[in-house]
Parts: sequence; C-alpha cells; structure tokens
Amino acid sequence: MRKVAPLVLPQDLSILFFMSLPESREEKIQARRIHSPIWRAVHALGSLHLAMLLLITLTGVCAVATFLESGFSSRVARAYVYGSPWFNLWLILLCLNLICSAATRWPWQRHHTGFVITHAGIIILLGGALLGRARGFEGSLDLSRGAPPATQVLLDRPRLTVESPATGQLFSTPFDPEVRTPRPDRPRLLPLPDSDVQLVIDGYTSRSIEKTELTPDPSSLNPGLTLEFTGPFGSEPIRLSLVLNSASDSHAELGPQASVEFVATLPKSGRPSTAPTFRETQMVLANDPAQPILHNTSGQPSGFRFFLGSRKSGDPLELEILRPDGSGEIYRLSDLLNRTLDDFSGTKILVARYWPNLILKDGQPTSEGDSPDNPAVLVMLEGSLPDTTPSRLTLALGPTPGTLSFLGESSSPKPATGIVRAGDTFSPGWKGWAVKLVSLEKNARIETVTLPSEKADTSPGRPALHARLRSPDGTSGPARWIASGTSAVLTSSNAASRIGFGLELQTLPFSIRLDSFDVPRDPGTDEPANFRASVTFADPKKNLEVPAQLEMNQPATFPPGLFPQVTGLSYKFSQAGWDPQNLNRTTLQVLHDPGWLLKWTGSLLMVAGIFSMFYLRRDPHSQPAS
Amino acid sequence: MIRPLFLFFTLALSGLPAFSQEPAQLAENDSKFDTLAIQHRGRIKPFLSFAQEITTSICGRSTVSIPKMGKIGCRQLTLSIWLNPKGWENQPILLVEDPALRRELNLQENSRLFSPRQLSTLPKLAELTRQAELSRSSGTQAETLPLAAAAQTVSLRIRLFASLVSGDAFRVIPPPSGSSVDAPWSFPRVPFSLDQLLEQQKSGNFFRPKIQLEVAYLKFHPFRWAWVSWLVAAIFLLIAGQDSKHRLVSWGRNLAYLGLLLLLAGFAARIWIAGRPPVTNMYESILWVAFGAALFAVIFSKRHRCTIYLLAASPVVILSLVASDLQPAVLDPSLNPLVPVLRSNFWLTIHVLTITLSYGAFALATGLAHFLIIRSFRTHSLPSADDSWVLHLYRCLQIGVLLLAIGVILGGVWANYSWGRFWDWDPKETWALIALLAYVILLHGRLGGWWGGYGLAVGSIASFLTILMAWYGVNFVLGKGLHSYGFGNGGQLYVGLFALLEIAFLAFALLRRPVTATSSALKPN
Repeated sequence: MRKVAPLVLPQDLSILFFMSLPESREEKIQARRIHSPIWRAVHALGSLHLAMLLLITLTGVCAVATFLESGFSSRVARAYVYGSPWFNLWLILLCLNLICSAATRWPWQRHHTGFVITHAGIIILLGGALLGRARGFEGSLDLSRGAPPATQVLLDRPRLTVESPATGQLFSTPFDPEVRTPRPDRPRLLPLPDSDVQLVIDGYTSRSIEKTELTPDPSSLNPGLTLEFTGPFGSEPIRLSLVLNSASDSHAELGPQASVEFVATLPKSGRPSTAPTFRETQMVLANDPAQPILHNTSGQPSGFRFFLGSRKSGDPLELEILRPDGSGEIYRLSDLLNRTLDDFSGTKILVARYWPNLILKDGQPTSEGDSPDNPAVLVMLEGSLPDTTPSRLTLALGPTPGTLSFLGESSSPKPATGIVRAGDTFSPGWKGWAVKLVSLEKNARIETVTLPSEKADTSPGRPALHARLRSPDGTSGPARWIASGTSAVLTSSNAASRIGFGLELQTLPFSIRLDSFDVPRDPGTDEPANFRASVTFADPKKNLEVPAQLEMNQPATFPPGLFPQVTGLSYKFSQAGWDPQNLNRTTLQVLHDPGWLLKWTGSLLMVAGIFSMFYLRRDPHSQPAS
Repeated sequence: MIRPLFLFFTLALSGLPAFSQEPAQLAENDSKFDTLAIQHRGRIKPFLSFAQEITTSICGRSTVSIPKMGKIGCRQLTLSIWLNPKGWENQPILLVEDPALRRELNLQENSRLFSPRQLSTLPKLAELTRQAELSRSSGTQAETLPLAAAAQTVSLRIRLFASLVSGDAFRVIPPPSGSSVDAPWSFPRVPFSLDQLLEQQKSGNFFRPKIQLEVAYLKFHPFRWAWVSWLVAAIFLLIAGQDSKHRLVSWGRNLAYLGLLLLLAGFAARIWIAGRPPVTNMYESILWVAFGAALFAVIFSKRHRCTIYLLAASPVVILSLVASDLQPAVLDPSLNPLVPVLRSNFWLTIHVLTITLSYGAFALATGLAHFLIIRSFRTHSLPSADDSWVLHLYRCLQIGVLLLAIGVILGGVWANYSWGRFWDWDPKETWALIALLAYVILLHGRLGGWWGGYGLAVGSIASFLTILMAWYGVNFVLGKGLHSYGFGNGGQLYVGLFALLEIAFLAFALLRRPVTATSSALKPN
C-alpha cells in the first residue's frame, strides 16, 4: 500500500545524487556503469533499494528478537537472531551496500564529505563488531577471598563434551539446550566420533537435583536398605538409603534433631529421657522494659519475655507476651490479672501481682498509691521447654534373613523395638512419625543419580540433559540425566562413552586473586552504595604481579598500560554480582574485545559524519533551506 | 476466656497497636511541621516531602478520601497516624492496585483501598509475599510471579504503615554532632514538642536552606505551572491562527518562554536538592522529554521566526507534564538516591540526557506532523516540496537523529565503562537502535523520493511509536534486560490507548490521503 510519490526506478536512482554535478563527472559515472559489469554490480549492490530492504528487514528482525528475548531468554534471541549466520550475513551485506553506495559516487566531491564519513564510520563500527564477536569473549568469574588465584572464566556458552568410544579422545561441541529444547518427541541426535553409535538427547530440565538411590550390586559385600519417613506435618515422605560398613552412607541426619544409623548389631538402649521443665517468676517494670527481674525457682530459663505499658498516658495498661520463638500477643492487663493463662505452648502463665507505683519498702515490693507512675507486675510461669533430646533410630540385620531389627529412641521414656520385613511400616517411637522399610538388599551400594526437580519453586538446582546411546540396530542403552558441570558414562550394547555437559571455560593467560571485598551502604539503610574489590593479577611468564581496585562503574584491566587498553587487547574486569550472605565472595564480569578500537573510531566517525551532513553541508537537497 | 487484643502477624507487624474500636482521630493539619528534617530512604528531607512519599506509597495518591472524614492531605494523614495512631488500622487507606490480586484475596472488586487490619489478617497475602521474597532471595534469575510481586508491594505498604504507627519511621532526631554523615537518626517518643525537635535539629549535619527550598519546590509545583502556561500559550496561538501580527501571538510566545523557564527552574531545584542529574526514573525522563520538546520549539521558533513550533510542542509538553502530575503512583516524583550502577557517572548522565533530548526532538516532530496532516486534510492538498512546515519537520528529525545516534553510542561508551562491553543486544539498546533505524529509513526514503512531505509526516508519527517502545515499552512491557532499575508497572492502559489512537490516526491519514498532489518528492531536474 505504497501510494506515495511515484517510484523512481533503480537505474535512475544514482542520477538523483549527481544532479548538481558537472556534466563531465556525471557522464563519466554513467559511462562506466554501462560499459563495466563490475561497476554495474557495484551500483546494484550500492542501490538505495537494497539499502532500504536491508534496513527495513533488520529493524523488523530486531524488534521480533526483543520479543523472543522477553518470551524465552536472551540465549534464544542470540541463537536465532543476533548470533545466527544469516544475521551476520545481513550485516556483511549492509557493509557491502555502504561501501558500494560510497563507491558509486567516486570521485567524491566536497559535499560528499559527511556522507562518506558517516558510511565509513558505520563500516568500521560493524567491522569492529564482527572482529569482537569472532575473537573476543565475555564471561563471568567467581572469586572468593582466600581461594587460590583463578585463571578460568566461565562463558555463557553451554558445551557438550563426548569421548570417542574407540579411541577415548575427547571432542567438544557447542550445545545450547535452551535453543530447540530437546524433548522425548523431538530429540537431538549426535553421532559419536569414530563409531556408529548415536548420542540421543531427549530431555532437558532447567533445574535438577541429586538423589541417592540403593542399587543391588552382587559385587558388594554389604547389605543395604531404603526407608521412607512420614512426618507429623503431612508433607511428602523423606526417602533414605543406607548401606552397612560405609564411611558416608551408613548414617544419615533427618534434620538437626533426628538421626538414623545402620549398624552390625543393635546396641542396648538405656537412655533416660526427661524433658527439661521450668518454674520461673518475672518482675516486669513498665519503666524499665529491657531489664525484667528474673528468678528461676527450678529448671532452665523459659525464654519468655513480657512488656508492660500503655499506648498513651491515661490508657489502660497492656501486657505483651513474647514467646521464645518470637510469636506473641498483647492483652489488656485487667483481663489477665490473677488468672492463669494456658498458653498453647503448654506453659501456664499467671499474672500474680500488680503494683501501680512500685517502690521497695524494707526490701519488699509495695505500691505507693494507686496512680500508675511506676507500674510493675509479677508474672509466674510454669511449663516445659521444647523437647531437645535427639531422636535416634538404629537398625541392624534381623535374626533371620530378610528381616531387620530396629531400636527407636526419643524423648519418650520407653524405646521402640521390633523386627520388620521389606514392605512393613513401623513406628520408630518418635512422636507422629512412621517409617516404611521399602527395600532390603543383601548386597547393595549407593549411587548418586541426577533427577529433574519436581518442585516448581525456586529451590536451587542445575540444568540437566537426559541422554542415552543408541546402537545402529535401534537398541538403546540405559538413559540418565547429566547435570551441568558434570559428566557420566553412557553405555549401549557395544559401546561406552563418557559424556560431559557444562558451560565453556576460557583460560586466561594470567591469574587473578581476590584480596578484599566490601559493600558500603546508603546512610541509615541496608541498600548497597557501592561494591569494592581489591584483586591481584599475576602473570608468571612475564613475572608480573599487579594489584588493582574494582568498584561499581570502575573496572580494572590487565595487562596494564595504555597500549593494550587503547587497542582492546587487554582484559577488563567489572563488578557483576555479589552474595548478600557471603561478603567474601564476588562475581566479576570479564571482557576481552579486540574490536574495541574499531568500534570507537567507527562511532566517532559516524556521529561526526551525521553532524557534517546535516549542519555543515551547503547542498540544497539534503538540507532544507530556511 | 481471655482474648488477646492483637495477634502478631508474621510479617513484622508487631508495631501495630492493639485493635480497638475507637475511631481514628485527625491531628491538626499543622504546616509548621513541613520544614522538620527527617532521615528517610537514605536522604535528609523535609517532613512534607516525607509525608508525600509515604502517603503516595501507601495510598497511591498524595491525598486520600476516607469515609466520614472526607479528603485528607498527605501532611495531615501522616501527622494523624504519628500522633494518634489508634484507630487508623481500621481505616481504608492501603492501596491494593492489582485487580487480579484483589480477586485472589477475595476483596471487594470495586474498591482499591483497604484497611491495614483487613489486609494484615489475610494468610493468602502473607503466603504470596513469602513466595516473592523467596524467589528474590534465592538470587536466581527466576522471575517473580506478577501476583506475588503485587502481594509483596501490598505487604510493603502494610509494613510502612506499621512503621508509621510504631513511630519508627519518624527519624527526626539527628545523631550527636561528630557522628558520621550516614549515622542513623532516631525517633522521638510521642508526645513531644515540635519546637524542641526543631531546636534539637540545629546540631544535625544538614543544610537547612536546602530543606526549605525543597518545601518551596513541593508547594510551588513548577512543573504544574509550566504546563498551565503552555496551555494558555497554545490557546492564544490557536486563536491568533495564521495572523502573525495578532496581539495574542506575542503573549502566547512569552507564555511559552515562561513555561520553559519554569521547567528549567524546576530542574535546577531538583538537581540541587537531590545532588544528582535528573536521570533516574520514568517521571524524570518524561519531564526531560517535555523539556527537550519545549527547548527545541523555543530555539527553532526564535531562529526561524514562526510560532508553529511552539504550537506543535504544546501538546507534547502539556500531555507529558499532566501525566507526570496526575500519576504519582506510576511516575514516582520522589527524589531518591541513585542505585549504585547509576551513581557518580558522567557518561551515564550525558547518555541519558542526550537520548531523552532526542526523544523530545522527535516528540516535537510528531506534534508538527500532526499539524501538517491535519492541515492537509483541511486544504485537501499535499504539502509541496518546499513547504515551510515540511522543512520545520525535517529540522526536528535531523536534530533528533543526530542526538539519538550520539545517545546510542554514548550508551555504548557507558556500557563499556560500566559493564565492560560496548553492545550486547540488550532490549533497551536494541530498541534504541530500532528507533534510530526507523528514522534513518524515513530520511532515506525521502531522499530516494519514495515519499514526500506528507509521507515524512506520517513516517514521523509511525517512527515515534518505536521511540515509545524504546522509552516506555522496554521498561514496562518487555520488562527484561539490564536497564531493570527503570522497570515499573502501571500506565499500560494509557500508553496503549495513546499508541492505538496514533495508529488509528495513521491509518486514517494513509487511507484518506488528499489526492490533489503537488508532489513534493525530490525529482531530478
């Protein structure tokens, strides 16, 4: 629907730009265009039509890419658009178009200055960008204080490393699972080098977790078992696998207060258990809330705190009860006085006395008058502390094969004992808990497997691939998950290969060490105001050791000196991330960009060219006369 | 049965007073409090500023209508909660903006304000907030669900309210002289005497005239007066019409100059108060675009002696200043310290100001384009090649393209300086490039004779939509990328409506193009 001004045919186009030229130059250009096929090609490549086509498609494609990025991820946008071969081709075509359109005007005249400078600037800029993309890299580096100097940078480029089944040689290929994510119905296939076996990747999870599993293993001498614990809170059961006589896998902790152990023979139980109790009085003063007068008549401190006060002078007094766990309530004092409150924590609370104006007379507390000038109350507490006796479950092989005997100990005075078989559910004697013996193997070992996390929450986990090997006859070996940063051996009927998956590492020609890191805050807040890191660069080959400071917006570069920095041959380190929980750690972004100088020169030329085109040119057709 | 007066909510609400049935009481609306200095959000500011920010944060506006009390200003509301906290927990003053969240929490659909008491007893709200906090603290790049993010905002409002009730927020007592500049201030026990507080503040390490200037700035509303004077100027110029000798023309021109001066004064005050250039958020960038459009209009109209520039800039200036005046919840006018990445950076300042100035030039071009198209409708003819309005439009596009190109490259300079790389196809960068390319296409098409003055006008409006996307859309619609400190929520309806209206106008302009063409294409002689 282009109903605007009449279209000018391409062959007439170049005339447009020379209408004010002297006849001879214009004729010369016309003549070379007719007689030379090379010049004809140059004119075709430098045509405004091609320029418009390239610009319009580029604009549209970039717009689509930003939505791709918003909908998926920046890696997807990069893979399909910005980093794809045809986008590069487009940019190269644009470069050609710019060169050719400048060439069509040769020999240049004074009023072409701005035009030529602008186009040269864009060409140089694009050249710098292509060089930077080909030879430079961007990655991240985690540094910890006290850790050995780092030399490897993690690039945001996932790779797959495979081992040749025949020679054991390693091969590596870029592999981004976020782009065309492998699915069972859309697997990605890779032939293994020097073999007819194919690697089939048919699943991907962005979050995997590691689980231990009991595997029957005839070569093992040790029995193993799997238990399933169901807690009183109705959450999902906890699965545990144990083997006998293993340094790490005979014993497991179920939280800080409960443990399970697999032993050769059950010990004798005989642990007396009583929950500690307390009886306590607290004198609470409204005027000195921080210093209650505590007196324990027996047992340990209760951990309860009380605050007495009123919102405004003249208001009725209120008492705030604060439990050891931080929860609490506010009551009107008159409601509480001389009544026993049965707190749900099992503690009995009695506000026994109230003195509106407390004074000490002959060593005894008493009230002087009824005006609440120095109010105080006496609170009496009685209860038991939360049970802190660790619960224990000890297991051993039973008297007959296929049976297991157990001893469960907890705060209850009587231990639980018994003999169970696989499939049985029993009580370990812990309040509200039930245990199921899922399996009992005579010879077993524990294996760590990677599985996709089922929880859709933000629990940490690493991306993982689901892979297997497929023989030419169509049979597949066992499939398994391989988490990012790990490797695993896959097998098929006739081959085995170790497959690794992880981000690409780039080795620096020097090392970097974190000496200190600190995070100053904004006045009166927790907001970070800056991030400051001191590092030391070391280049053993040049016997060079250089300390450097890094701050927000103030990166450090290595090697030092003007020449590497100006030419872009240096490596630049900027503050990129921090861990609020661990202030000894910082994440730096590392950049190496040999196209740097070209980019700057090009940018400068481009801006200067636009300026001279718009404001310095005395040409009636590009600058509207005022 | 002993009943607790108040159960603690897990969300740090322990500052709330015991629930009572007593009605909330209004404190005296005492303007003597205005210049009381207070430490808040990393800055020492006047109480009036604090009250405005707090009220806007809690209620969404700087005034709130309360049943049986009527309309209450920010100062009176904040003072009332501070001095008589009782009963305020029952007043509907907390904003729950997101309709989806209201549905999720089973709140009344048709109201937006709810009482702190009602909100603080909703377990679902606490649950959603916990989710949002978890996903945030886990440090992963995982996105927070919009519902959880909205719930977190509401919970922040509850906490803010609790900090008012407990008095915690009112940090008006400076630390003893000699302590460090960033030492926390403390809050007084109620009741207190204002005079005593002011006396105590004399030892504080801050500059009192700055506080007074900020109060004057808040009370005077320079940006409001700027749009009013532009509105009157536009009316005068419209009445005068084509008659350049009309008496109202000079009045209109002078009013527009006055408006520009007011904008300048407002900026100067903001810069001095905050101690930083106005480059942080959508509010400031809208002001800056209005300023850019007004500045170029005034320069061009002076240089080329015609008032059409002023007329073309007036809708831009008025629309953007009115929007920033009326939407304080979306466009936050508060003067906050910069996030670290934006701090103490010369390149950033230049980069942002150049880019937004170019937006101003393009906005002015868009205004001119509308006038040009409407004139073509009225005269039923296309503009000729040497039409003065087309030349005006061309000038605006030129300065815009130059500034945008410089701005994009300065963005590269700054990105290189701050993040280490020049260009990374970040959505904001990409959209700035798209906008630049759109204008480059527009100028090349005109150069190639593909379109004339009318096409240039239509293209200016179409290309401005890409500016709108780069400016607003990336932050508020796409919501991804490194420019996240500018991300926000709200206003999508208005901006979407504006874009739709412009698209409809464009469609109309293209379909009903006047046919009596005096072609304006550059043709070979």
